[in-house]
Amino acid sequence: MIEVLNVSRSFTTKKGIIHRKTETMKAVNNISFSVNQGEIFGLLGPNGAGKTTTIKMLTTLLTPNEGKITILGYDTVKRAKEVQKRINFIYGGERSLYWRLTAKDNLIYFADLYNIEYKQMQSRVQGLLKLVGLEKYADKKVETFSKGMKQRLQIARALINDPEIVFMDEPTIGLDPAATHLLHEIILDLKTRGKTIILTTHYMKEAEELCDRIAFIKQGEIVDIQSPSAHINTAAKNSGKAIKSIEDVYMHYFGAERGVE
Amino acid sequence: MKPILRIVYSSMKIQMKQTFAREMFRYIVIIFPLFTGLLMGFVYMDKSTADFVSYAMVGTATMTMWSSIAFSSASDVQRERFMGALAQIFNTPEKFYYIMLGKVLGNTLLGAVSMVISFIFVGAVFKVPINIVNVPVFLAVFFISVVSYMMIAMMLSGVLAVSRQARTLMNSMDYIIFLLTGSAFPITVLPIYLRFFSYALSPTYAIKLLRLAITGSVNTSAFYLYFVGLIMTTVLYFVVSLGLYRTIELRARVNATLEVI
Repeated sequence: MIEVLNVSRSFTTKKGIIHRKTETMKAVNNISFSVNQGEIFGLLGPNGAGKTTTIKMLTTLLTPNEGKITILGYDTVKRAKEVQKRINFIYGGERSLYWRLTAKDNLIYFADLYNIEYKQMQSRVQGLLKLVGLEKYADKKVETFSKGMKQRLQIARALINDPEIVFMDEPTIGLDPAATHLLHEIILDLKTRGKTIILTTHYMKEAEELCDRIAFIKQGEIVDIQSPSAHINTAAKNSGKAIKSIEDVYMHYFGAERGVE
Repeated sequence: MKPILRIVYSSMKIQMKQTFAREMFRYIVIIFPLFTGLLMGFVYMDKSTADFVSYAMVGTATMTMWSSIAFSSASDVQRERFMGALAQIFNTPEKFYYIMLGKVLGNTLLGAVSMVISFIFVGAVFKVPINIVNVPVFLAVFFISVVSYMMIAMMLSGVLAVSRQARTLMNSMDYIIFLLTGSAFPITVLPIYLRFFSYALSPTYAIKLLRLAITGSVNTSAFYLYFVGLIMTTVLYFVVSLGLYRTIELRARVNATLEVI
């Protein structure tokens, strides 16, 4: 379903006014992995590890400098439009919506951009608003919404084209427990319907509960990819310590660089 | 509705809704044209009726149209980037060109309202009868001028989509156009080397043609020359905007310019 082969991505920035210096930073370095249909695949790592860059390359927002990404058989660079029809994505936070428009207007606009048939559009918009618990607020402007409501609307927007793959970059950031629970239910429901989810998060418990497999990423490179239980066993075996959770695994991989033993 | 028309119409509708929701809308569409009209009216009130109509009425009307279409459209790219919506709409399966065309069209309709308001207001305040001698030609030239302004707006929005630094250019474009196109004074007072730039800008021809249509001097060689100039510059802008948007599809992904960070 998703094939990532030897992918790298660098960013170049220019500094200085008279003596312009070009600096290149490698955000992702030669990563390879694959994701199966119906899988919830987690990408975990510290800030700046390359998770968001990876997600952006997978969603066709960025082109890799090296390597190849294939989604549902389509090359993300050469056949980006084919990929875009079949995927959608959510970034954590309150952005990516038109705040001065109503929730319904936001969803209808994106339904138009994804060329959803008129006959289906109204029922799909109503259904999605109901799914995320915003049906009573359909005609309210987004700027009046709480952070959690905006995030729920983002989820509805990301499902407007009934995507086969949904990419979620820290979708529960800043959400209260009820909103987080609702999102988890939606993610698991999507899985039962055969959808594939790619998830990045800093909440280890969330990753452990939801993900079928987890890739730990460190300084742009993948450290290891396994199921949560296999990660726990491997880390316990390698470290000789009592590792009982994905959070312990995370600390095993990244704790030292944060000054934590 | 055909998919392309649907995208254009939907984007136009959303654009206008967002504009109406902004406080600045009253300033741009109503207040700015009135003040500019008053200013130009007082400058030209002691001149001949021909000069008054040319500069205080047609000049002001075209200036306000320009501000509304080009400046707003280009600013919208920046606004959408900060809202995080630029990446979202860019990553839908529909062509970014059609989405932006719809947004520019929304601003155009509002710009046309500004134009009419200022034209009528200046005529009424300074008691100058609005007497368009050749109405069909005036309407035809007005329509082509609007299309031409839209193509300029498309070029500018395209440049802004691939370059975050283009904002500086955009802020200075407003006055450059006022100075170079003869909307406030005849371009014959400009140095010859600057007039070269004037004739590369379609508003220069549009303003001259509108004046000739108002006075009825449409059967002169100058009219046909300006008409060819307007058509040629408009076609050129169209071709350039198409090319720009083709490169945007690639470069925005390569250079990661769609987002704030």
